[in-house]
Amino acid sequence: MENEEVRVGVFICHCGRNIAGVIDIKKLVEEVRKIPGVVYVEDYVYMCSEPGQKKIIDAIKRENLNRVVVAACTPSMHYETFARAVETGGLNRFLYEMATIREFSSWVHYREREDATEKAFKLISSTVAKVKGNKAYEPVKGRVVKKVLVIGGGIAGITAALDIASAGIPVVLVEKTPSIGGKMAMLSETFPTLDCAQCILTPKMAEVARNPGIKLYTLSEVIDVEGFVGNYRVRILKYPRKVDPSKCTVCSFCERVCPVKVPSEFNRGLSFRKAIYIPFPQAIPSSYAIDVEHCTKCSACVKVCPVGAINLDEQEEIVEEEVGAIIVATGYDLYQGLKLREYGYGKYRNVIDSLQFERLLSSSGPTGGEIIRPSDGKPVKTIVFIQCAGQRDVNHLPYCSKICCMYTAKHVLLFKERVPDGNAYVFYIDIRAGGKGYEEFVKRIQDETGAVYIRGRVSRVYEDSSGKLVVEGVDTLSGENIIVKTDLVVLALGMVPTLPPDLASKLKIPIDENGFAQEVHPKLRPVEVATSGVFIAGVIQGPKDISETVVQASASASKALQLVVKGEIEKNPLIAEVNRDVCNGCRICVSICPYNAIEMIEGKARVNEILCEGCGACEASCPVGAITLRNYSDSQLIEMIKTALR
Amino acid sequence: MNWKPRIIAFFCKWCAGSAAELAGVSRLEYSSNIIPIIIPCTGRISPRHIVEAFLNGADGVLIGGCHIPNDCHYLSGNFKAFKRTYLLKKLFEQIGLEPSRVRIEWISATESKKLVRVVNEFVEEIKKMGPLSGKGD
Amino acid sequence: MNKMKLAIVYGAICGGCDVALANWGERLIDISNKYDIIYWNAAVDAKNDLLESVREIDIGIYMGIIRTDYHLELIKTLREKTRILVAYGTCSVYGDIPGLSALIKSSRLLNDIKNTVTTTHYSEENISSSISLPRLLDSVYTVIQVVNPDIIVPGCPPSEESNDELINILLKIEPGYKPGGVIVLGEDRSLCYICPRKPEDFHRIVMPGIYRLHEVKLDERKCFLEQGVICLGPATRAACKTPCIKNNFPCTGCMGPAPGVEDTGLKLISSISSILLVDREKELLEKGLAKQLDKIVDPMGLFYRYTLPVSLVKKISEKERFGK
Repeated sequence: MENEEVRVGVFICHCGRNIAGVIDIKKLVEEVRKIPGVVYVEDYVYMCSEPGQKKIIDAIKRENLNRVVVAACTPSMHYETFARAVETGGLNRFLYEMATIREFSSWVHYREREDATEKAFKLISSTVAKVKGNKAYEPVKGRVVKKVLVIGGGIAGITAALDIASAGIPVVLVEKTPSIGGKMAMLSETFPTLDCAQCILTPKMAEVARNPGIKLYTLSEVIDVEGFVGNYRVRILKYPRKVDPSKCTVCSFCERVCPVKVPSEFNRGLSFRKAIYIPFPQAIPSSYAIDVEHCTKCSACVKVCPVGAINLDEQEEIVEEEVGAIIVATGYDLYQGLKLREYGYGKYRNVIDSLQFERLLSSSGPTGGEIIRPSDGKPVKTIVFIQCAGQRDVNHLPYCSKICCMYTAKHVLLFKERVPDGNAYVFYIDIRAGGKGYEEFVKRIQDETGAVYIRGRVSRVYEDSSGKLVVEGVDTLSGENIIVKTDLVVLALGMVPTLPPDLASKLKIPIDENGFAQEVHPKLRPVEVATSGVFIAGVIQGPKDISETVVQASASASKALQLVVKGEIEKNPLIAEVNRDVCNGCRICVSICPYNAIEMIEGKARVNEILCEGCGACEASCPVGAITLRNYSDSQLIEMIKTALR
Repeated sequence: MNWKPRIIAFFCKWCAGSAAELAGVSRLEYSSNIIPIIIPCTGRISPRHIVEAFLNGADGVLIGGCHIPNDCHYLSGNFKAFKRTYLLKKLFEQIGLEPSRVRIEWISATESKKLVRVVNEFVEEIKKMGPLSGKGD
Repeated sequence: MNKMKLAIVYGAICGGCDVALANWGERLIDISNKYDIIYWNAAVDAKNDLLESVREIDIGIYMGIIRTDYHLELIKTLREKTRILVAYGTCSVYGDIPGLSALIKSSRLLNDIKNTVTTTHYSEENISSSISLPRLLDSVYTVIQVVNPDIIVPGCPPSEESNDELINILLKIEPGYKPGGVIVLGEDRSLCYICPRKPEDFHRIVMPGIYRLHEVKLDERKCFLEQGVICLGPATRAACKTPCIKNNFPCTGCMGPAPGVEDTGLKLISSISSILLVDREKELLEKGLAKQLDKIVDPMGLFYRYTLPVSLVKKISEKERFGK
């Protein structure tokens, strides 16, 4: 193409009267004919029509044109129309450009006909200058592995995995604890329907176990990710469970003889478990696991296991998987209550957090669903809920976790159902109940349970000599200080995302200042991140409740499916490319590419064709002009500028 | 005075360029002294392009991009355009070129009226400044 | 006899390039064995009329910038009579420090001097009419703006390696030889290509701000840009072995532009501002980014220290525009 003589054909559309009514077409054609390189000019009343397109097709063949400019409306309207015509004429579509003489001239300078014509000429001549430098390209095709990785086995990960598997695409689901289920498995009932959490969750967990399309890795973590969209190579570290899930019958003999007692994570320290344990009875995989950190290897369990499922010598294993897309749904934990020293969390056993309260409420919890004081087991008659604990607070978390007002109201209701003569107090700043039926839910509870809602913050919680907790707060509506003596204090601590920073950096997921993953755009691309092929779902993106989490998980699954289901992706080839003879390896382009599409190979930059989106920021920042944006190079732009000013 | 200012406008195709199209669709009139060059992103513009415009007869350069911080279709091109233009204008002050001959504006795809206002304002400003002349003293 | 003739001619110099030539040391003997050094104000007792009378010169080395009409005459004469013209030192090629007056009219320079010199009464009348002083040109010019040199040796002064290379070339040249195109000494690469601080894992540069050398505790193994110190290496020719970098000082661009750089300042303004705080753009917004950029108080002096006369911005400033 380099040494070929450039033969430009310019096709000027009248667009009825839209262009011809203002612009002097005859004069324009005359002037355009004089542009060096233009060998053919034709005008027509409606270039986009069948006969109009035919003129272009015929002219390309007849006049041996190797560049085409169509001066008409905008590319947004008819780029594709003329591109197909050009292709039918036998010319590569990237050797054609449009000059927008309608929207940029005749429609906006309709009273200055001479100026409008002159401007149209400048628009056409600068477009001719550009198209002369264009080269032909074919769309870039990339292979996509038809498999999706889901990181995180909570309700978000489970939902996404089931959606994708039901579309016939295999899924790898990785969960770092011994069972899937996440925080939702710890809940007693869910608002606003008061469904039993386990009842709606465990069938889904069982589906995951049964589904042949889902490969489940528990007690596993993703330790390395290499590759790019469509072709990710993932390394997964499997920690040793030391119990074979295919043999374990959950008979619990091992647990009875284990001498080691450790605070239970599932019950958040309210009870103990053994070093060999099952997190909760409905765990999936349905199997015990050994806590390697605390196991003394006494082998008592091995001796009593009737099916020989225990192997204390099992080692860590690394497995590799190839996937086309990744969904990250790593969920959350609660903010560290210990940081709220004025509330005595960690100091007083009767100051607990909301998830601990869920365990107290749960009939399969450490107290069998009885609401008793953790310190002495005495029944709870008075309870204080502190909303916004360590949140909406410059000293702790600046944001609102969205769900606490709803679950606190739920807690109030469930408490009153079990302790009808109990007294419940809620310290709040605002009540945020924005979902469907949420406002009605809270209102009903406020009206019907007799709970006392106090608008104000709590300054201090301490224990008095009788072992009762004293809560000192303020009622801003009455202006009075409030002191409540209570058996139990429940803190609504904030949701903190648990995305491991090195996983985020391996996947190049941008993180905001609170640790939440940054979506590309909250409305246009809410489950995508800047890295192509990586999607997010659940609290990783921001605080939200279960129904929003499920919606987002299905959305990510849909996006992942869009990517992998065809097995290949096609991309616009107008990307950046590096001239390795000129590149000096300064890394400036690598550092500014918003898509991390440039890597260094043997000391010089190289653009990944699939990741590059064609913005051209790299060409503008290269100090030596080693990287160019195809069909939008610096030399083309400078020619356009010169021609437009002639 | 027979002098007509010549202004090059670099519009990104996703925001300011779309606004210019919408201005056309809405038949909003504005000064014809401005020649638009549509680019994929304002991040594509380098100080060299702005200087070439002035060297080849432009009296003013207008850059139209997506709003900071979140609108850029390519995520951060507008920040690059801002930083480069800011530093270039500092240089212009030193060489005696009025920095206000370069104007960078954030215009979203729906802000056609803003585009028209900015264009007309800028053309008037340039008219007042007069044609570009060197002031190397 | 019949040694080839070599002339070393000055424009407006600081003397550094002269010292660089003197530093050729014993190799000057080799040179003088092959060449007859007919003109070199520092070392040879020859006057101006020799340059006028000589018909042919084999090698002409010009150093310094073209500041006066006399310098202009000299370089033109030299080019006319010389077979191989060497533009030696950044002053002669790109302008270097004296090039910074490229945007200032000579009339203003003289005015400034008149208004600041307080010692004596200044009067044209006291100057004897038999002496004519060279006049300042309206601006400064470099050799490449006036004639076509055959060999370009960038550097302020040129590096040891470039000097060695020049000596080797001079010692190899046969009578009648003329290079086909311009030879530029030094690599056709930017400094980053050979920089000892380029990390092996090629990680991204995050420029944490703009800092002067005294404002930050420098890590001697880390790229300057990654520490917030502006280094012009990315756009500067690798015509040295990075002595500045090795001595914990960022490149200031004395070797002139690397291939592919038509205007050093414009390229660096783009590159440096692009990577500045690239990871905190959304956090800092325009205000925060501008605040850091404001720390560059003299972009012209910083980015055009050695290349202002040959830059594109100089052209705008001088009302020279193509097509007009």
